[in-house]
Amino acid sequence: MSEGADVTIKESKFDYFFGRVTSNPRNAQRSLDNLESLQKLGIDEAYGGRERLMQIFHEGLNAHEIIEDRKISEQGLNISRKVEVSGEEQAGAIIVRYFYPDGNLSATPQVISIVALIYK
Amino acid sequence: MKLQIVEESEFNKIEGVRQVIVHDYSHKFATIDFGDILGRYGLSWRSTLVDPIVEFSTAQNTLWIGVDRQLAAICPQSGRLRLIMPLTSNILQLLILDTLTVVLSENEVLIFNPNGSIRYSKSLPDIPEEISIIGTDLVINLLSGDSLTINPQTGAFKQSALA
Repeated sequence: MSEGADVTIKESKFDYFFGRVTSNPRNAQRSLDNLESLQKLGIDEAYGGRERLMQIFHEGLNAHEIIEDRKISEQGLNISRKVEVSGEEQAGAIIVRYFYPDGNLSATPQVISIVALIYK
Repeated sequence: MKLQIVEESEFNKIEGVRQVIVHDYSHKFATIDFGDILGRYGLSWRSTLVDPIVEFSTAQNTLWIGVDRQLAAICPQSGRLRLIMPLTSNILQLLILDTLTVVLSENEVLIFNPNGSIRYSKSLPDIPEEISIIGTDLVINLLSGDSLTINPQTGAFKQSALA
């Protein structure tokens, strides 16, 4: 588990974000799509991309919430927030999905997934 | 029922009610042709490396379509929409079984009855690798190495760590 001061994320997620998941063709395609999208936004693991993502996850805690993505489950609360991100190649955004155990918004959230948006 | 990749201009010619899957900031566009009588439906999605999943139900009376964060189900005999549903994360797999359809996304698993109503939904603790049917249970393997077992008839649930 990687930890910033105010957010945590499982190490395996970085494999998924940076194109290293090959467990089946569908997941491999999705993982490579994540890699390509992040690179378009200027986020490259070889050049501090992991640290940049952690910075985005931190920024996202105060970013605009996508209210239609809020979901309450037995385990806790899931919230999506949108962080504007621009690389040299493309402008876009990353939607960060946070999980708050037991619905406690004072607890440290865990990042459970991202969606990279590439603007035209 | 063939998926055909088209230009955005071609997608935009399809009337809005027939654009069954639409994403903001789409980069890919496609049509599915149901023939001369029922006509075409349109899809748009963001991912450049991931194509839609298109699967018939076992009884051939529903065509399930999923890509990125949108799910649709269409009756191929009447052309009626059984379901259009936005999800909160990307769809990874559709599993078609005799009496149900299972949708696996990065954050949750959804089980649908044959008419498109939701039988069961559950948030997942990690991104899943795959869902499969083993005996009468659904087994979800997660990237973390853990696995989840769900009985699709009762919702009985068990989480275990893989050795």
